[in-house]
Amino acid sequence: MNHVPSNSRGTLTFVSSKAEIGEDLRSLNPIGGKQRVRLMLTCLVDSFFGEVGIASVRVLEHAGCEVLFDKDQTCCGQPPFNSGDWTAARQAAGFTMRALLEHPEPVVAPSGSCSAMVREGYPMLYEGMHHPLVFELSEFLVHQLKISEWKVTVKTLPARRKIALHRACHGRAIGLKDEQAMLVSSLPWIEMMEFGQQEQCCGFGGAFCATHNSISAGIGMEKLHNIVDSGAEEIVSGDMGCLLHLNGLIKRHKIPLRTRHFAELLAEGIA
Amino acid sequence: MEDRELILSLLPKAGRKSRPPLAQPPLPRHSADELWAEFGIRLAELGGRIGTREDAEVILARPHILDHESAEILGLHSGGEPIWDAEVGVTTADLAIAETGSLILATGPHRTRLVSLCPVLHLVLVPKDRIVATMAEAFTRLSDRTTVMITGPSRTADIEGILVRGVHGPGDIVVVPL
Amino acid sequence: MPKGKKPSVEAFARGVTAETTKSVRAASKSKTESRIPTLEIAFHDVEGARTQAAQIKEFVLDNISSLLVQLEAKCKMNGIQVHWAKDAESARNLIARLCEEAAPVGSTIVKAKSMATEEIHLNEHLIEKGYEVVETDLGEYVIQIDHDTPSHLVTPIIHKNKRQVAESFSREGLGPYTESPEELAAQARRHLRDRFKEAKIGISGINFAIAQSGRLVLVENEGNNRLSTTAPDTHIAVMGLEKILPSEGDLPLFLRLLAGSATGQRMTVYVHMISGPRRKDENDGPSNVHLVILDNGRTKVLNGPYREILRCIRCGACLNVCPVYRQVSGHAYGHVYSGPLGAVLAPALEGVEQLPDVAKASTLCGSCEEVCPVKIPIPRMLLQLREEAVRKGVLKEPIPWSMFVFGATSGLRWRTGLKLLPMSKMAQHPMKNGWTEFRDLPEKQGRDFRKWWNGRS
Ligand code: SF4
Repeated sequence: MNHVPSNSRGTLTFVSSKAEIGEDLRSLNPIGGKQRVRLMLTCLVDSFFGEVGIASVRVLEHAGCEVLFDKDQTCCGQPPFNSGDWTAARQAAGFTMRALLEHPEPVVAPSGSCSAMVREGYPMLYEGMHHPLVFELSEFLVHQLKISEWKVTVKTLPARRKIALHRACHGRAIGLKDEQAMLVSSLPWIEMMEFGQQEQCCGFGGAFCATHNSISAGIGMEKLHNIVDSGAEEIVSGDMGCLLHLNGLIKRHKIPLRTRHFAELLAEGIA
Repeated sequence: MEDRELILSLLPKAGRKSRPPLAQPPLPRHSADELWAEFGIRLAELGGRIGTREDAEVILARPHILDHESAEILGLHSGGEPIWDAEVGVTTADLAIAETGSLILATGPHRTRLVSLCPVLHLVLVPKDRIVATMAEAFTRLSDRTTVMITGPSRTADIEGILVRGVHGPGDIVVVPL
Repeated sequence: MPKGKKPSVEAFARGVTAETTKSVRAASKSKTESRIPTLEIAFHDVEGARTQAAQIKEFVLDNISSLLVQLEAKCKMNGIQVHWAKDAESARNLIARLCEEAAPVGSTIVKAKSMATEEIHLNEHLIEKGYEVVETDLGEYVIQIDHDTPSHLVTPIIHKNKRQVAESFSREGLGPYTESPEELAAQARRHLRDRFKEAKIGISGINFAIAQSGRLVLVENEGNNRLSTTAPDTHIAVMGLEKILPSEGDLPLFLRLLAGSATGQRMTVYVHMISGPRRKDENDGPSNVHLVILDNGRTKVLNGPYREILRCIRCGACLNVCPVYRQVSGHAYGHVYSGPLGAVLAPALEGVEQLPDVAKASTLCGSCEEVCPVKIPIPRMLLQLREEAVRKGVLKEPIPWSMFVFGATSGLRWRTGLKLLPMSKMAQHPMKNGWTEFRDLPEKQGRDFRKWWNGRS
């Protein structure tokens, strides 16, 4: 087992457990001032889905935060971690800790998966490490900023549409429940459709989707069939991994569905 | 004894932790009649039913085998058909459990385990006071003999998950509180 | 399935028919759907019940040595003969000897469904010795006549539909061809009755062994388990050494968790609690009861990083909820233990060298841990198994992560890489074929975040 690299120990803002995360925050942020947060862009948003990053910043600012972005951030190291190459994962994790975590502000990521990697995966890579202060976006909005209903400021509402919310699985690892559903369902132009096997994974699984591609595609197609059957026109999720994979299937099979991150939906309501 | 010593030597050394306590939910206070009503609902959900003494008499027209105690209750002779041929097996039960519709049957002097198992219908005569609310309560009163807890008719869902009753044990169970 | 020659889970999955996937998905879903409502009726606080069960099992693993000695002593007092077997071979030889002592070669042995005996491949051995071994659980019976292997812990023929069962039964001459599950079950009942009558030996597994009282607890729905352990004169029970519960007071919690998690039932139909051979004043029951305590890799697991998997009570809930299991069924895992449980237990018992790839057959979605009645952190252990396999070099990792990490450990290199990304469509990439076989390649959508960010400040 490796220990936390000494050069990054001491200055890291670690809390001791999942349960205490909410408690620690207040002391970190002077009441009255603007809540400062650091955006963890995530490598998929960085590479393919810039709009999700833009929406995340707008959403956080709309919620009263000041957003900081560290240009040197790269990838949290989850891909090699999940593949079993923990030597490589530690290198990426060590880099991410220095780029993102050596600051007093909490880190917010538009991804349950990347948040889970940092919060639950890093302590597996480094024995004795506490769970770092990283939040998934909806978690941060609902539990830290106590927002349960999204404040819509646009004059003309977007056209009504039906969506299916796919609850991305890695949210389980950090205890996400219905935070995204709560926020999205407060948008008056959105109708959330129920669909079959709603809780089931989409089959992405990181490198799994390439190494176990027939299984992954089979699971993904089942999800897409269920969503099409529900009458939804759009799949909304909180993790771009799921959507990257589903989108690849959608395009290949010419399925009439779009994919969106929930932050993009929230951003539609901001003037 | 070779394997025994080997295995014991490989096991991690005894921990000193004391065992976690079992949370005991407070026992609800109910009358026997209330408990029998609950029992009846649970049993019916499983495909069994509560019967009367008259029902029992009708059932006994079929080829049956009676165990010692149930015969005594009915004022009849024990015995009947050979165990593998009887259509109806008649026994008593040591306890009924309201919350799950279960019956506890211990082995005992002159008791025959197969009577409650081989026939297609199991007729169970239970003195009314032998009912408890919860399984936890029932398990504090277990006999030290081999015991079976029966909850509803024998069933399987092995074929396409479709429920079928009476695959090896009785597909019908009629409980008569007396 | 022979060891070593096992195809990878993905390779196997490509041969799984749509019919099989359909059967497995349908059955898995219905069991999963009834699980929660049942548990919520049984427990005011399902979460609390699971925590308590996990703690009790942890206590058992912590004190396994003294509990086993206690169990042995209590069983002996009850008249149960206790034997120990260090591995599968030792167990097979021991059980064959017990059978020879109990009944002449050629006699009928009735078997109640048991994963422990599947694990040690007992049937083949006893048949080789000349015994007639008959599986009596409906599903296991179908498996036996089809020379198949079970694909689920609880519902062994989940991969078959009624037409397939009907064909097997009519082939074996059990009765006129029928696809009605009721008729099929009746045919099995008639056929197996004669086996029970003539059997001299019954062999079963156990679900729980109670250390405090020396009682063996077996749960089942059909009644074949009770018949197998009641009608023959000798009963041999085989248990993995972790199957202990401290006391009888623990049973209501575990029995309800097991029934609810496994099949969404409030309670299993028969809970058979065996306190020894038939006593003098009793009319029936076996006169000899043997308990075989099996190690077969478990002591190794207890001392290693996958120890918590030994909390497992074999409910199968993790299989039922697993998207990969639903897609590929149990056989894909190449081991008697399949699904998320098997993906940890099988390599933990046999060594990651033997089964290096099963831990990779998971999306790490976490639904297994979410349903597990004893809260086993399965995803965490899957990750640890992957790490072990890569570290030991027994699993060839197709993706060169060191290259990826070279790019991910410098802001400059990373940003340069991002600029080159649009060109990577032309490049060969180890993940590319896996991605494009069923999907189109992703394209950059909308604005670039970094450009936007730089533009606003
Ligand atoms: S690992 Fe947990 S969920 Fe899976 S079979 Fe075992 S007890 Fe059940």
